[in-house]
Amino acid sequence: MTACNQAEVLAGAIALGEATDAERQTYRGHVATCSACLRANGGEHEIERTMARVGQARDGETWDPDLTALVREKMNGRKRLLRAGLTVAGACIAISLAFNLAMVAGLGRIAPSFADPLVLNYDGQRIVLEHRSTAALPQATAAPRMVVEHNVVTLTRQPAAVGAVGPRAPQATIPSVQQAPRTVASTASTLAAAQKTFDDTPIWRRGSGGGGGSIAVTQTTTSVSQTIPRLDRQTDSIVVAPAYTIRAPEPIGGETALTPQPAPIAYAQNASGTSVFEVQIDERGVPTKCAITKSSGFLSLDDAVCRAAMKARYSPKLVNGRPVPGSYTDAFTFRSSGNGEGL
Amino acid sequence: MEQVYLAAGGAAIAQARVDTLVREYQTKLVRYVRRMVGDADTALDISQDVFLAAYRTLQADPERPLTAGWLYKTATNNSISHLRRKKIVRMLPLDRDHETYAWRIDERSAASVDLQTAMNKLPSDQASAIMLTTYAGYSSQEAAAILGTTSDAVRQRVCRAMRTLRSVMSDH
Repeated sequence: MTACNQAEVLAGAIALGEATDAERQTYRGHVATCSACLRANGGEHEIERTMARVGQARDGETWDPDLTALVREKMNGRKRLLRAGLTVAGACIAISLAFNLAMVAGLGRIAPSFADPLVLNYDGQRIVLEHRSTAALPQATAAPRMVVEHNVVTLTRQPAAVGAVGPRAPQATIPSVQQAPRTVASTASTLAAAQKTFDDTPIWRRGSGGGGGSIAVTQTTTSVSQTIPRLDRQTDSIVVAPAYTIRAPEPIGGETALTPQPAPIAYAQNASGTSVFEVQIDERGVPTKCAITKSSGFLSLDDAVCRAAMKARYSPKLVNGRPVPGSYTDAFTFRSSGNGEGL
Repeated sequence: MEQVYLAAGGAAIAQARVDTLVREYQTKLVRYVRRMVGDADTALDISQDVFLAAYRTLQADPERPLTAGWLYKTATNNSISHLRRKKIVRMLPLDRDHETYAWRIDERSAASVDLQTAMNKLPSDQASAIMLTTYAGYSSQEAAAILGTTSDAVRQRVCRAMRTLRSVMSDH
């Protein structure tokens, strides 16, 4: 601290009447040599006169407000506010508890359920809005809740084919098919009639349970074996026709290329059943028409099957290597795991 | 429930103690604050807030000793906060006779006007130092304890405030 700063402290002590004689002597000695401090702070008498001015202003004040009532009112207001806050908080807690108890006890619904249809009267017409799907439905691909079994119906109708075994034809059918060229003989009209007979024969069989695919194959093969002796009996005197090959149309990429994806409502309905479809395929392998030959009982499942069938591409039917229009029949069995209830 | 009764009793004790503090220190406190902020209405508001703060403090702890120094310290802090806000937002009085209301006729002496003129020019630390020592009657050590500084610093601030007062007096 410099001497001038020390002089300020001493001047303050003199102003407050706290300076001792030694401090006053020190201040007098400093201002005697420091004109700047003398000019700024003044001498002892000047300091005391200035402070006396402050005393005069203090003693001249007469303002005497009464804060007692104001402060008391604020204190009571604060208490009232606190009490009101506690009351409101208690009321809120009580209402919340009562609401929860009512909900637990099942004393009526507070709001209409989403499952309730909304009935509107618009211009004299009664409109019923049903909640069919919700945003809360899970993504079918993320967590599938429906088991889809792919029943493959293999077409092995080859009455006079040599080496016309289909891609999925079982080995058991080969001997009977290979015997056909030696025994089956027909004119063109006879062959056409025979072809029509095969077309009228059911070409698919739906399996029951998970092993449906193999059962369908066996039954289809059996029908072919029963047909060939009948032709043999009729064609003992018929000239053997030139052999021809037929290859049935099939989806490019195999049977797994068809992936039906039912709408979310199917999960909510726990839909299950088997949809059998037949899709018409032109000579380019493009599906032109899809028909449900046996419905699963759920429009959503049938629609999903036909959409998947029309979305796929097929290898066309080949007769002697020449593409011709044909049809492809397949079946899908949907089984719901039951987890979709309450969606 | 016992806690509730104890709390209710604590509130009553706090209110009684604040009533005592108000009766004893209200005049000195509002005059001190009025000199600090230069406005009677603001002084009343700040003083009420000080006593309400004392009530809140005593509500939490009814046995806590609250001295006049605590009141002046709170009032000083509130006044300084008000002066800082005043630098940003200048509050204008609604009535033209505001000065008449703020300072009574018998208070408009030359000494009072000079003091307030100087107070308006002083920084808050110097103003609080000179007011605590002259108006509140505290010594430099007591004022230093309230302001959180040393007694030499208080004396130095009083000296510098006195310089401003001297210049104001010489101007008039």
